[in-house]
Amino acid sequence: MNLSLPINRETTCTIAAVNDSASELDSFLASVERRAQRIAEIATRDRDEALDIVQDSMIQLAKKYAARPASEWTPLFYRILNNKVLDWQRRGTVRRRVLFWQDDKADGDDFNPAELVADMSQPNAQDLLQQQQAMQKLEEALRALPARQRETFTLRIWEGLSVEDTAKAMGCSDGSVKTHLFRALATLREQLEGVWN
Amino acid sequence: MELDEQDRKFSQAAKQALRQSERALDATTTARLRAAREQALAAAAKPRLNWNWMMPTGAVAAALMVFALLPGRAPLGESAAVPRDEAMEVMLDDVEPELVQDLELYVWLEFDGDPA
Repeated sequence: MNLSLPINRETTCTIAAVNDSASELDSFLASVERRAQRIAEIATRDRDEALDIVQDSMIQLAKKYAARPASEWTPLFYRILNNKVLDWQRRGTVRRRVLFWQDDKADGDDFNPAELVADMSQPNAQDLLQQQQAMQKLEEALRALPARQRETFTLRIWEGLSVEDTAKAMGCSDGSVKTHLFRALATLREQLEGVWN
Repeated sequence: MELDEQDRKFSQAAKQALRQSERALDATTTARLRAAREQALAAAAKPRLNWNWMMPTGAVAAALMVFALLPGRAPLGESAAVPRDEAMEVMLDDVEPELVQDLELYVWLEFDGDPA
């Protein structure tokens, strides 16, 4: 019984298609990984937890949806990512209490005014300090938003998805996306008045 | 619900700052992200269960079970062996060779392995 596969033109084309698809998926994941990391970091306030969430999201997309058209990957990926962030938030009541205690120290790691004061001699030190403070305030304000509003802001403004793709990623209607975004922007602008306006 | 000019300005500034923060990720984090991506690609390349193969296999297994348990079938012996083999061949026509080998073992166990 001959069990060897004949290598014909069709087989070669199939192998080439698989390689193209893997390369396309690699490019897609490379294009979203940093943003996904920052989104997860802002939500969890923890770099390692965020990395785990991003990795799980990438694996789930690759395993389940790699065969889908590449145009669908962006909303699918962010939907997976958002679900994983929500899962993490639901799971973590006890853990968040511990993290809250640890955050006092972690925050110190992220932003240490003393270090910046030492660098004040540099020309852009003042600007850098202001930027870091503004960024920190923006992250806090984003974190304080209701989950759906934060998702909408992240996808529509930060990622730049269309209303339709945002709705797909969130599993809601276009109208809901517009409402969530309107409310998110109103809250953020109110909270960040003087810093960002 | 359209965004006004101030909303647009605010959104643009926030987007710029957030994207800048992506570029500021440290080398360790970016290396770990690259590793995560490679792991995801490896997971995608792993062969998944082939249901196209499993469905006929399951159907054959179910048919064999029914055949074995069929009430009033002919008693085992020389006269029954030929039609049983023919039926088996028909059923196994489209089945993978490895499965046939396994099934042959089970058939042998049933008919020859058990002296009773």
